[in-house]
Amino acid sequence: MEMKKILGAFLGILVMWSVGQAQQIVLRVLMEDIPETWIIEELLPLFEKETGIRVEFEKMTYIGMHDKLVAQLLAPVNAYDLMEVDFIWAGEFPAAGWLEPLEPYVQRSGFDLSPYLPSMLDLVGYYQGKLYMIPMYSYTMALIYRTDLLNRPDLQEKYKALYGRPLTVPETLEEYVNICKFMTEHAGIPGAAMQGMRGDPNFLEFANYLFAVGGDFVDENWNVILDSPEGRKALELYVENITKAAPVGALNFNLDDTYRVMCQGGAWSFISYWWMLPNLQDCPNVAGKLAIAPVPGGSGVNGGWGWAIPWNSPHKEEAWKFISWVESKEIVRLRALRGHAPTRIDILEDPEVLAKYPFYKDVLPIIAKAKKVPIFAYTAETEDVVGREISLACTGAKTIEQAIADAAKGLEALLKKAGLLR
Amino acid sequence: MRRKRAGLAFALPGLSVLVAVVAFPLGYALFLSFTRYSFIRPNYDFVGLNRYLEAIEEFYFRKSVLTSVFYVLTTVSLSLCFGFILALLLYQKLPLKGFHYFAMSLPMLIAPVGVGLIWKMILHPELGILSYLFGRRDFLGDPRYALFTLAFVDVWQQMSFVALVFLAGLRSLPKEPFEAAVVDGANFWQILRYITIPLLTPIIAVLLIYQTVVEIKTYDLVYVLTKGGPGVSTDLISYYIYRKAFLGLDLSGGSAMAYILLCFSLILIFLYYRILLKS
Amino acid sequence: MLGSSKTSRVLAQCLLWAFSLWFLLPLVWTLRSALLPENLVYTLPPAWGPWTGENFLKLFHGPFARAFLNSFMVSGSVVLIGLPIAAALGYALARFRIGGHSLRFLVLATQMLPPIVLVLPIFALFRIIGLAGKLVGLTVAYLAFNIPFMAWLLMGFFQGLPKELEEAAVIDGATPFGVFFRIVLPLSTPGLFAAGVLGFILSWNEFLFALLLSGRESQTVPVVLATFITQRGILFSQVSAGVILSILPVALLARTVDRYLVEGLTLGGVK
Repeated sequence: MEMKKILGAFLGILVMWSVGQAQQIVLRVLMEDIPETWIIEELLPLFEKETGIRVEFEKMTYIGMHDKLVAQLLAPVNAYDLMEVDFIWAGEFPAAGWLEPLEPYVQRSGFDLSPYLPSMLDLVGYYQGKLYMIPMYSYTMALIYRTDLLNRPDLQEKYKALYGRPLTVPETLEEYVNICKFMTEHAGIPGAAMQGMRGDPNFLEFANYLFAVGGDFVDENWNVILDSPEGRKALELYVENITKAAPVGALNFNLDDTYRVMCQGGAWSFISYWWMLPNLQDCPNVAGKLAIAPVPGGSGVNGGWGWAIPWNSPHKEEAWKFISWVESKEIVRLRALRGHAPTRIDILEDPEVLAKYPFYKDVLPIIAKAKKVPIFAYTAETEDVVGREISLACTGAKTIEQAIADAAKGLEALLKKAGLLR
Repeated sequence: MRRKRAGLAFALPGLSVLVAVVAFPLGYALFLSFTRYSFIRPNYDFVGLNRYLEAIEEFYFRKSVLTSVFYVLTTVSLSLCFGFILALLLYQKLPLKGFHYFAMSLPMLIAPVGVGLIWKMILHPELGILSYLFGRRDFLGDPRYALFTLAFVDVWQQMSFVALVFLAGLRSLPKEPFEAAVVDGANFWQILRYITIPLLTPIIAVLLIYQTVVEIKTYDLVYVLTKGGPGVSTDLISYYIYRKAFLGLDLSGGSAMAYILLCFSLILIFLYYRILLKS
Repeated sequence: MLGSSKTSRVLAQCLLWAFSLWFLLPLVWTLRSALLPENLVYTLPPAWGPWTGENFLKLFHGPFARAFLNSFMVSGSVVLIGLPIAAALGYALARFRIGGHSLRFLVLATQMLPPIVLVLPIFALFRIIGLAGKLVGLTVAYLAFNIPFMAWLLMGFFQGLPKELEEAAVIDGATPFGVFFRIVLPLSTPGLFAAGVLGFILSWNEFLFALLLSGRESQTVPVVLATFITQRGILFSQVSAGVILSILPVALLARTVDRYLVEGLTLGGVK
């Protein structure tokens, strides 16, 4: 009799618990396994307390994320309610109709888009005039260099003697390449740790060079303007730098390799994502000896991630609730204070945040002026095609003119395939 | 008749699993190869053999096929030779066999991603241990050496399995022919040439075919170590197709290329079979 | 079997050591890297300390322990379930000429397509029948893709067996199944071991299917290893630790299985 009562009570509790579980909504999100994600993860209980919705992050490596997301987006129902989208896919996903347009949600909840940097909204926000993402993270590229070497008296003297100009932070690309070659010859270490690996690494690095000389891949109407004097000049300087002022093996370097080299003090500079600056402070050889500057010429490559809701998300309303919460001024501030770089102007200028991370002062104008590479359905393939041509030019297998012409032709074909060019 | 039925009974479980799980994607891929399906434009317009023709006309596809042929021939012959030698050595009565067996069994257990990463660390031209010991060498960044380096890493991993299979093959050989030969006064090389290798022919055939198929499918290593560069020197065909499907979002083009690859492989294997059966 | 001359024995020893060192030295280097903190992995001259177990600890606290178990279960299941099926299929192909040469090649043809082309339809199929994201689904996929290879390997071994034994047994009145179980299998233990290892390592090392078909709880070792390739850089010390952990237990197991199961059975079985 006693047993029966206890069993009954237990079953009753079990039923109530399972019903309770069934009613609690759980949002599943695929996130990259990096410190920024962990920072947001720490704040998730606040969201649950406020809304009763639990959020689970499935963390994974970057290299598999795209493939995994694509597989889910092709299925009738997505295993993820929400996702973060890298700028490289920020054209592909909307073009395939995989993202939920966010304007209606913004209107209904009165979400304020004005604090966002226009360059970020242009990159991971709007696609062809419609809003599909909310920027969450920025990784614009900039020039990071060793101040101790730049300010060394003997090097300064020698440079002045050779070129008649002072040795300072370069303002043009030609000057940058010149300094890199100078450093290689006279400072004993290569001037630039370049990521020459074919594909995403060398494409993005080259894009900085292209923007630095005032060139671009396409104009506002998607006409390809890569095959131009600027394009040829940029590639010429790129090949010059990588063959004369880069470490051995730079043709196969990816981001990680360049980071390692800089960390060991093995190069004077590199053009890389701005968050490399705080990262490199962990390296005993170079801590405190680095500074950041805009890419010579003023505009670096813009990069970033945005929140998006898949077209086949099982919980769209709840997903939006999360987005508007995590990108609210209060939460972005909390994230920023813990180390997650913000994409909102108001937080980048927030005094408390600036006190903790003073270099945001330099970073804000860099992000504001950044330009984007062509973001459309085939950006990823563009990286591969153009990257291949750049790599072929670097090995000497093709002339500069031929490589640029072929790269432009390849890009044109992709734009036509995407229906953006007739 | 009874034999036929028994044979079917043996084959049925395996074939049913294959049909149930594999036939569908194979058929779907074949179907796709006759359409213009892509993730951006997911409609199934029939275009006949156009995708195949486009693939053959693509310069870099053809180049990739050539690079892969060279790569496969190199890696397969090296793994088979080294694997056979190692298996012969392990079959002898030499001291510390257990230790050597253990060493041999290690590379095959590492996921190709892991193999690529640890070799990337070792081969780093500035900071890797090999460069430190032997002077700065650009193993992966020099288009002349990159493919060989890739092959080297691949053989490092693959030959250990080949050795294991050869060893198993050696152990399953009947003892009489060898005993008779020793009685007849044959030496080691004669036994090897006239008894061991002929008896191992089915195993050699299987390994040849298996390794060829595996090497054709190499793409993990390319992904981690070189991404097809520098230039296009390590652009192997499976990696090329992977990029076509996932970067180019072109599953139908990728399927057409995959079926072209399949035809090539079948022809190659058919040739192997013929040559081996003759001998 | 080798010539008894001293020089040939010494030569053989040297060669064997050369191979073993070729295999072991990179792994020793990996072990060194696994025991160092991340920022010392790439220093020159190479660091030989201070040693730390933090990478292994981090792995245990992370998803690696779970992934190791998952990998082990999946690969083990593939061997336990797949080996019998593959052996039967291999035997049918070797001795019964089922479907002639065309079936042999057809079975192999399923292996010759790059997995990229096949993985998306499989993923869609599995989503519909509810197997996506579960270990069972991955196991089923691996069984389907590994059985042909295992069957082919075993076919090679079966073909190498002298037919007289089987024919004699048939004359004595044995059924085909009897011949298979009591004559062919016992004689093929080395081949069965090799095929088992094949099934195991193909499942243990496979990446693309595991990536797309796994969920949060069902990740396997290759997927977790790949998570150390972050957009920030590659965490080499963790990769090294992961590699060491993923191979040592299994290698020891392989040696044990080989010694007691295979050698033990063959010594009793052959002739």
